[in-house]
Parts: sequence; structure tokens; C-alpha cells
Amino acid sequence: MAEGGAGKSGEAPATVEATMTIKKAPRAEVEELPKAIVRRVVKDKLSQLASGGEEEDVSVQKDALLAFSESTRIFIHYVSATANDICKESKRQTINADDVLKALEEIDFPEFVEPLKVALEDFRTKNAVKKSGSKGRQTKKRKVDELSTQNGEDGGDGSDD
Amino acid sequence: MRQAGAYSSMLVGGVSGRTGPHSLPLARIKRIMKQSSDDVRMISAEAPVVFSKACELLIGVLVRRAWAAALRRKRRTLLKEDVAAAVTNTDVFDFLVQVVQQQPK
Repeated sequence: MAEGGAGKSGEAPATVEATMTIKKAPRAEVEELPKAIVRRVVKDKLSQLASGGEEEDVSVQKDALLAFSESTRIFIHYVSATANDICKESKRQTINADDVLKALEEIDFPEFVEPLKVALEDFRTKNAVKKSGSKGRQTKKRKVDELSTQNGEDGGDGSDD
Repeated sequence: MRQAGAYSSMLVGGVSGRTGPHSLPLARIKRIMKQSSDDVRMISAEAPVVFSKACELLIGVLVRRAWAAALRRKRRTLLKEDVAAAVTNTDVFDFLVQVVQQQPK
């Protein structure tokens, strides 16, 4: 897929996946989410749900994990397409966070909006700190900061990594 | 028990602007976003951040409902059919119908 859209015209994206398989080389061009992270999110949620020492019993079949992963990918497509429409309606070029939040409301996930606003504020705060601290070396500086604050907490790690 | 996340983010590989220890990678999310329509042009830096968290929330809801389906069948293993049941039983998951109907053999 040409990211800038150059040279590609007149194609109705009826199914994005079908379009891509035709146009691309045999290697998997469909972007997927990393299995390990999806698995971690799923397991975390299950351990919340099955709290009381039962989480050891709960297993997730590989096909189910794939279904979660694929569902998430389609979710991103669906919300992005909606957000894109919202963005275009406002005659802007750049999809922003607010477009995504509006899209979520539009597709009937209003309960997501509040926690996402919190996460967004958190991100903005962290970013503001980084920007005022240094010009470009944001990641390194943040890791150093986090390392020095977490020194005192080391040793309590009982998580199953 | 999950810790505050600083240590975990080191392990997973810190990407600037991550919102938590298990965050989905922002660059990958951005690419998936671009694949949603032909005319997606520019994406602000914050949008993938919102998606990262939104995806966690979505997985959370899916897992909860799939888990309920497994429990109804007295199982402690989540199967794909539980995910399918969750999708079928929830109106807002209509857009996921194609996911659970796929049966690649």
C-alpha cells in the first residue's frame, strides 16, 4: 500500500484485505499486532476476572488468541475509517485523538471515552515533561528517570513474565 | 501482581509516549490505521496512543464475554467458539462477525 496514496486511484476499498493481497508480494503484508502483547493483555484480563487463585487454571487456546488479535486489528480499521470520515468532515488533514474519541462514540463504545481521556492526559503530561526537560533525547531520559525512581521497589516482582 | 510498570516497560522495550507496561506498539498501530482506508493521510502522534489503550479496553470486553461463554459451558479454557459467542451476543460487536466466521483450514 502506498502510504501517501501516490498512483493509486479509483479503487473502492470494499475490503481492505482483499485489495492488499492482490497488490502485494506473497509475503504477509497485513499488519498484525504482536502476539505476545495481545496474549499478555488477554491473560491480564483473565486474571482479573478469575481472581481468587484460579488464574492458573485458565488457558487460552491459540485460535482464541488469534481471534482476539484479529478482532483488535479490525477494530482499529473500523474506528480509523470512522475517525477519518469525522476528520474529513471538519476539513482537516490529520486524524487527531479527538476524532478517534468521537468515532468511538459513533460506533457505540461511549464507555471507552472517559478512560481514554485519562490515558491521553497522562500521555500529554508525560510528553510535556519530556519536552521541557530535553529537546530530542526523550526516551532515554525517561528511562533513566524511571529507573532511578523504581530502585526502591525492586524485588517485589512476582509476576509471571 | 502488576507493578507500577516502569520495570516492565524496560523489558518490553520503551517507546516514547507509551501509556503502560503492555502497550501495543504505536508504529504498528499507525500502520494498521493507514490500512483502514485509501485516503487516510496524516495521523497525529496522539491518535495511536489513544488506540493503544482503546484496544486494551476492547480486548478486555471481548475477554470478559468470551470468559462468560466458557463458564456457561463449564470450561476453563477459552476457545475460539467462546469469542464467537461473545461477538454474536453483543450488538456492538457486529463488525467482528467476519473475524469469528473465518475458518482457515
